[in-house]
Amino acid sequence: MIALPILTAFVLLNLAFGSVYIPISDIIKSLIGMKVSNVQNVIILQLRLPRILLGLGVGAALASTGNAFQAMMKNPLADPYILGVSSGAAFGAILINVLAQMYNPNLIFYTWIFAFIFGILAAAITYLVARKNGKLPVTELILSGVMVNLLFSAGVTFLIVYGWRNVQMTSFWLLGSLSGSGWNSVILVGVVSIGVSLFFTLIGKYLNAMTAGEEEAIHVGVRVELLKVTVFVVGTFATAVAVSASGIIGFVGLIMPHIARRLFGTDHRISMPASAVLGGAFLVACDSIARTAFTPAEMPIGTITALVGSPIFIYILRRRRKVV
Amino acid sequence: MYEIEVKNLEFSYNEGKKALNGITFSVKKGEIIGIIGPNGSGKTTLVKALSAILTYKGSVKVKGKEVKEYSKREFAQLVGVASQEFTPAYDMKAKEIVEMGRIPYTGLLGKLSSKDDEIVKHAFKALGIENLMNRMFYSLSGGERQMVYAAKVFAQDPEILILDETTAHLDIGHVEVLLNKILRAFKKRKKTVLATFHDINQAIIFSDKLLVIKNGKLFAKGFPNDVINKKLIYEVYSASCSIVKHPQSEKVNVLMNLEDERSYFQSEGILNLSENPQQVLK
Repeated sequence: MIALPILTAFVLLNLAFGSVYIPISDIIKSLIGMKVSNVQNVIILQLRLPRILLGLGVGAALASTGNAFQAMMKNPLADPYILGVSSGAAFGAILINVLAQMYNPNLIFYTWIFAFIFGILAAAITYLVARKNGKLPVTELILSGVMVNLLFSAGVTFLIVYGWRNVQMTSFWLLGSLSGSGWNSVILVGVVSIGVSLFFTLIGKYLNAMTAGEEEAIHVGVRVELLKVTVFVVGTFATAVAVSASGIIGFVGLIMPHIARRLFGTDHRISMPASAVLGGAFLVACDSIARTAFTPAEMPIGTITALVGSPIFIYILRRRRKVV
Repeated sequence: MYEIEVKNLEFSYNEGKKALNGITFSVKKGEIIGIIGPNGSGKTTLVKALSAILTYKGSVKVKGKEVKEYSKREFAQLVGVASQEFTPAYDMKAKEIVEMGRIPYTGLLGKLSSKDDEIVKHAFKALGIENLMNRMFYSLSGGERQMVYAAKVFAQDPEILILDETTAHLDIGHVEVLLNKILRAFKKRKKTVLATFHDINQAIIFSDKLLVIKNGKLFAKGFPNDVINKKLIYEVYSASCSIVKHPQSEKVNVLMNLEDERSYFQSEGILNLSENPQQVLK
């Protein structure tokens, strides 16, 4: 509730700054449909607003999925990409672009669908390799995720070297960017990110129990195997949607959950919405740096998330250590 | 009706040697049962079968119903389990850990009712650790953590409490406090307790009856004074000992001997080793 006005102010600020500065009064006018200049209208409604909303959505989906995965795997290094979704999606996207070059340029319009399908496919391989006697042991899951990630990364390298040398598109997929934001993807990502954050918040008490380990969770009545499959399927779906809209944006899914827990405590019923809001805000902030600091060039957002995120994370880690 | 009824319980990890092999016993309501046996004898596996974590062969019934057939939530209201250590992935307040004990009772959102709150506070009080309530878990000492963990199981308020070497890492003071509080809270309310022990004497002091496990089989069962003797300790643990009576409880007490066991058993005439000295070493 407190987050809402802060977030609104934050969005307005981000709408104002960019290659062209637009006064906040004009932004509000444009948003409520009053008359402003056409150029400003286009910049606000067609360029900046969808981009900001996409950033909020992608950041929220990645951060809440990361938070849930960390609890499920009892592993603070888990992130949404741990099951191979990211490299699978990048492989799918680059593959379709290579095919488009070779056979039919129209195929390029199916890029995000291919990214999505291959992302899901990669995670499915991870599940199948890890599954044993109807159970999903977490160590095996992490290891097979590493393997699948390596496999598809190798595929990506192969495609880049032999088939396709479009550096800009490659960096879009491998380092992520919010530049591909149309209203369609905004709506899709928005719905998915709200859905996934809400879902993980609703099952927060079970995630809380999981942080004590699987057996402890069973002892307090959690159906652990069912929970694992549910969380991984939902998380994979959300991650695949996020990645197919914006490429592999690293760091958000890994560190924002940590920051949320450090700030708001480890209870997932609180840390989950906090992760979502912080993840979204962080991504939008990084994006505004990515698109303004080096104008007219645009830095891949993954670079900024890492550059900005690491010091924040180290600071929080250090400060924490002093307290204990 | 027995509170717990185990028949021909079998389990093996990865198709290998049977970790549990044809175990049969039953426990009446309100009994305090100690389970002892050497490392790797199957104590923990037995506990896991009783707490519905393993898919076993044979039958394990709690209150007349097979444990597999309970819903997880229903089972968690009935049986509480505490093991050697509690290691949550994130540091949190002791109170939050004890509140986890109420998960089987709360609705979807896990919101605690005022009754739940009361029970959580009472669990801290019952163990005499109210001062730890708002401390961070990982800032506590090993003994204090184990007390908080026990408070979580207290808050779960089960009919049957299962402890798996919960006192293994504790000093004598913490062991005394913890076992005493458990006896006070559970025995007086006619609740059943099953506890595995590393330390034979802790098991004897704590329990009404003992189950002795060796190589996945039930080796002996009964009252401590009937079950425990030099021969059993030697056969189960390959250790020589002296047995005395506890001056206060009149229960047997096992004292470890450090003399050469062969000469000891020879002098006692329990084993004739002159014919085959390797027999004991095996």
